[in-house]
Formats: sequence, structure tokens, C-alpha cells
Amino acid sequence: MSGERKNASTRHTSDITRHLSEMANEELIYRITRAVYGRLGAGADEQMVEAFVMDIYRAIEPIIEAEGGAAKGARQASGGGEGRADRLIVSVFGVDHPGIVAAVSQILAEAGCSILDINQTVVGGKFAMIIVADISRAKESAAALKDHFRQEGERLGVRIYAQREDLFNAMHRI
Amino acid sequence: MEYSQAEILQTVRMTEMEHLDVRTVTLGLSLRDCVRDTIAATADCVREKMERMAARLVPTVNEIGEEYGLRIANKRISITPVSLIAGNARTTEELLTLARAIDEAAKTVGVDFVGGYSALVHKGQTRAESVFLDSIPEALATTERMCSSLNVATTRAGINMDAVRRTGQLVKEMAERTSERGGLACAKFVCFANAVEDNPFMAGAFHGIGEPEAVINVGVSGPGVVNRAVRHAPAGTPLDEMAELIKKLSFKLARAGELIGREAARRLDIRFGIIDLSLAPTPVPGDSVAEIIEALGFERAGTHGTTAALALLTDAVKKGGAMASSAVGGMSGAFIPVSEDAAMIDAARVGALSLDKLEAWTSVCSVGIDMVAVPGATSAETIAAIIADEMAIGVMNNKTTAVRIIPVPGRNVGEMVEFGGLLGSAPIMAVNAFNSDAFIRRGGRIPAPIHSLRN
Repeated sequence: MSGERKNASTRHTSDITRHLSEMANEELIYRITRAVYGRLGAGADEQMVEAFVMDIYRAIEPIIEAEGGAAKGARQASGGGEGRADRLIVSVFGVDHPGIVAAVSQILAEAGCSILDINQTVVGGKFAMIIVADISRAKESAAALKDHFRQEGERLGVRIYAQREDLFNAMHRI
Repeated sequence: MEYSQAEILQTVRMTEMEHLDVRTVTLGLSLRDCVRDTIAATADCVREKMERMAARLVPTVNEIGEEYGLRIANKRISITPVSLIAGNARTTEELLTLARAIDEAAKTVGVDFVGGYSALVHKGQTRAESVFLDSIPEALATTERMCSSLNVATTRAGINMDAVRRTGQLVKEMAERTSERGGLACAKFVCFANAVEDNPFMAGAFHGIGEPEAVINVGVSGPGVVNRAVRHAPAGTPLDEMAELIKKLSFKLARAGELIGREAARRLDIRFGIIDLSLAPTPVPGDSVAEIIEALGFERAGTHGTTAALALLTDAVKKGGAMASSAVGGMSGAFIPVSEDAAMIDAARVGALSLDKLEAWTSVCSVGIDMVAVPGATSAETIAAIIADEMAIGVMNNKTTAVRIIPVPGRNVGEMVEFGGLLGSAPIMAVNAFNSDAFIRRGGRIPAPIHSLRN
């Protein structure tokens, strides 16, 4: 029984690796996939695992690239990266109520943007959330995305701002 | 997370609440290859080149603004001083054809202003330039988006007092030709000492003769940001610490501006020129240079001590900008246009701010008498004398100074004039009642100062 499960997870792992490996680092994706199956068990939903692996890989992809491209070297000097044109910082402020994180994530998901980092707090009923999103594979323009945020923000009663990451880098890092 | 919540909040607050914006992305465009046998043919070439080179300017810059969540208020074009491409003009009519072509091209590409209906006459003028000067009032009265400037003095050449005298007359004529609009043409004209070739701000922008084929210059502003920071500093903070605070903010403003400028240049495939970091107010409350001055400890802008405060402010802005970018240029200081700054208007109305104090401020900022409305009855000689004073400050102190003054037809001290939009509204300010006519009528030239002999 357990042998079958292991085989199943290995088979799935190699399927997912093949599926995703066109993107880049096959070995790394294989290892991440194994780790995810290790946590969730071999019976885990294959699509769910693939989504996890993709999110994790995209989160660490920039770091790998930066380390790989040592010639670029700027990361270390700035202590905080160069700031990237293909990343958006989405900040959300307003009165807390259920559904804000879900709604904002939904817009990003539908636009084909993955979340690289997220930080959310509620202090004294005031909601604040900052999301770093990868827009390199976005299906929508920045303007269209911001329109969605604007409309959703009005519906939710919060303010949603979306700005390219390199602006923050320019202003706060030397 | 790579940035702290405080850092992200600061940027969001600056861009969304404190009016941090890129005041202008200005495409500098050389028109020197447009000179043809006739002015009509030159005009056709100018129109074609402007429309071709600036076709993507407005949509591209708007797109960048959306991506960065940073308002880019104006998209503009500065061109080679028109007098330099109209050397074969014989009549003002010919020049008006050219002016209209420029204005129409500006409308077609959707920029709000085009600067460069200009001449450099600091040491004298050619026959064609005399015709050109004659054409300025009608050119400004009959076009919508075109701005004009004259450079009448430099530290190296001294002050061309014949040109100063003529400028006084031209300003009067501009006001009269647009009397039903409060003398609006005067708001589109500026007279310089030591004009800069890469200034992106209007009305004084032109594409200097030392400039390349095309260039993207950026004007960043942020009085609202500095104003808030100064107001939130603990009471009694020493001035050196206030200077440090302003310097640090200016650094951030300059970095944001350069990022936008370089991105615009990259997408338009045009060389990036300079970033002009000048605090330029808008009529929006809070987005005011006078309010910054008042926040430093004055009841009203214009009272004693405010020249010192403005000196601190402009110097801190320059230092912050210079540390942030190697491409700082243009004017880079503080603008004090009375009609465009709500607190400045108030200060003038209550009598705290006078024309004399504005003149004194010129010695420590860039454009001293800017968007100042004076009574319609002010003589051409008095206006020329006001200009001469400002030019002298620029020439003797090796700096750019400028005058943009509006003698509002039919209005007197204490009344207001409304220009609308970014140009705002201005109280009519008093000029000295004693005349300077004989001095102005002497004409000639005020020789260059001794420190012009530097070689």
C-alpha cells in the first residue's frame, strides 16, 4: 500500500517536473515537488500540488537568478535588491471586515499574477495589507489591473494602491 | 518583505495624499534641420517633425504614470528657439504662420504646452530677431499652448537694456491683446537672465543649441511632501536639522523622478537628459512653497526672515537632488509663482508679501517675480525697470533669474484676476509709484560684471 503511494507520488512528481520544467531549473522544481508531496501525502490533489510548486518556485526564482548572475552584482551592494519592473506592490488600507484578502488575491489570480510576499495586519480595526506580486506573466495591463483594484476597493470600502516595485527601490534604497 | 511597512506607507502617502507628482515630462526637440527657403516651408517641416517625434509621448508617459501610481501632471515639448530657425523671416505675418503650425502640432500630439517661441538677445539682436520680437504679442494672443521666452542678460555679456526696454513694451502689448482674458498672454511669456538650455518647466522651456537631436527632461515637484514633513517635525527643531530633513526628502523625490524620466526615455527610445528638482507649487491647498516657509516659523510668507528661510529650503532641495542623481539640471531650486500658490496669494492679500520681497527672494531661488499681477496702468518703463532689477540679480550672482509679470488691463491694487487651471488666480500687487522712465530710455547695455572675466 505504502509502496503504491510512494510510486504514485514519484510518478506525479516527475509529471509535474516535466510540466513545469520548460520554465527553468528542473532539478529544483523536482525537489520542491517532492517536499510538497512529503508534507501533504501522496494522495494530495495533483493540481493543488502543481499550484503550490509554481508559487514557491516563482517566489525564489528571482533570488536564484540574482545569485546565478553574479556579474549583475547589484543586489548585494544595495542590501535590498534592484527593484523590479515586473513586480507590483499592492497596498490595501481601510476598515477591517472579512473578504478583503480574498477579493484582492482573486483579482491578482484572475490576471495571472502570482503573490511573492504578503504582509497583513489589523490594528484597532484598521486593516493594512501589502502584497508583492509578480506581474511578468500578467494577462492584463497595469492600467486594467488598477481599474479592477479601484472598483473592488470601492465595493469593499478600502483603498487599494498598486505601484511598480522599482519606485520603492529608487526611493528607499541606495 | 523587502521593504518595511513604514517605507511603503511613506511612498503611498507621498503619491496619494501629499501631491508628490512628476510635474512635467518634457520632450526637448531640435528643429535646426527644419530651416527651409521660406518660412511657410519651415512651418510645414516643424509641424511634421513635432507630430512625428512626439506622437507617442503622451500615451507612453500616461502609461508609465499608471504603472508607478505616480501622477505625471504635464506632458510638454520644448523646441529650438524659433528665432534661430526663422532667420529669413521678413514680416511678423510669416512668423505667425510658424507660430500657428507649432501650436497646432502641440494640439495634435496632445501636449499641454510647447515652449521655445524664444530668442537669445542678451548681447544684441539680428534684423530677423527684431521682427521676431515684434511678433511675440500676437503669436501668444492667437495661440493656445505655445509659450515664449527671451534671454536678455547673461553674466558673460551683461544686460541688454535695449532688449529689456523692448520687453517692457512687449509685455504691455501682450496684456492689451488679451485684455478680455486678464492679460493671459503675459502668463505664457518669461524674460530671463542666464537662461538654461534644458529647463523642462514652462513658460521658459526651450531646447538649447548645445542640446542633442531629442531629449527627455523631467521636472519633479513636491512642495506638499516637504510641507507635511516640516509641519510634523517637533516644535523648536533647530534649522540645521530642518535642512537635513528637507534634504533627505528631496533625495527621495529626485530618485523617483529620475526613475520615471529614464523609463520614459527608454520606451520612447530618446536620450534621457536631466531631472529638474524644483519645488513648484500648485493652487491645491498644502501643495505650497509659501506654506513650507510659514511652517518654518513665520506668521506669513513675505515677512522679515523669509529670504533666509527660502535660502535654506532651496539649498537643501539642491543638495538632496545632487546626491540622488548625476543628471540634475534645469533650474533646480524653488518656484514662487504667486498666482499658483494659495498661501502666497493670501500673504499678498493681507499685505505680508510685496513685490520688493519677491525681488529679494530671487537672490536665493530661481524665478523671483513669477505670475505676479500688477495694475493695468503700470507703464512699459516700470515693467522694464522691474525686469532690469531681476536681471541684475541674476547677472551679478551668476544665476538664472526670470520675470513673468502681468499688467492686468483695467484692474487695480487689491482686485483679483482669474487665469484658471494651473495658472490659478492672482491678487493685483502694488508697484512703486515713482517712475524709472529716464533710466530705461537710456538704453544701451549694462556691462558684464568683473567676475565674468574668469579665464
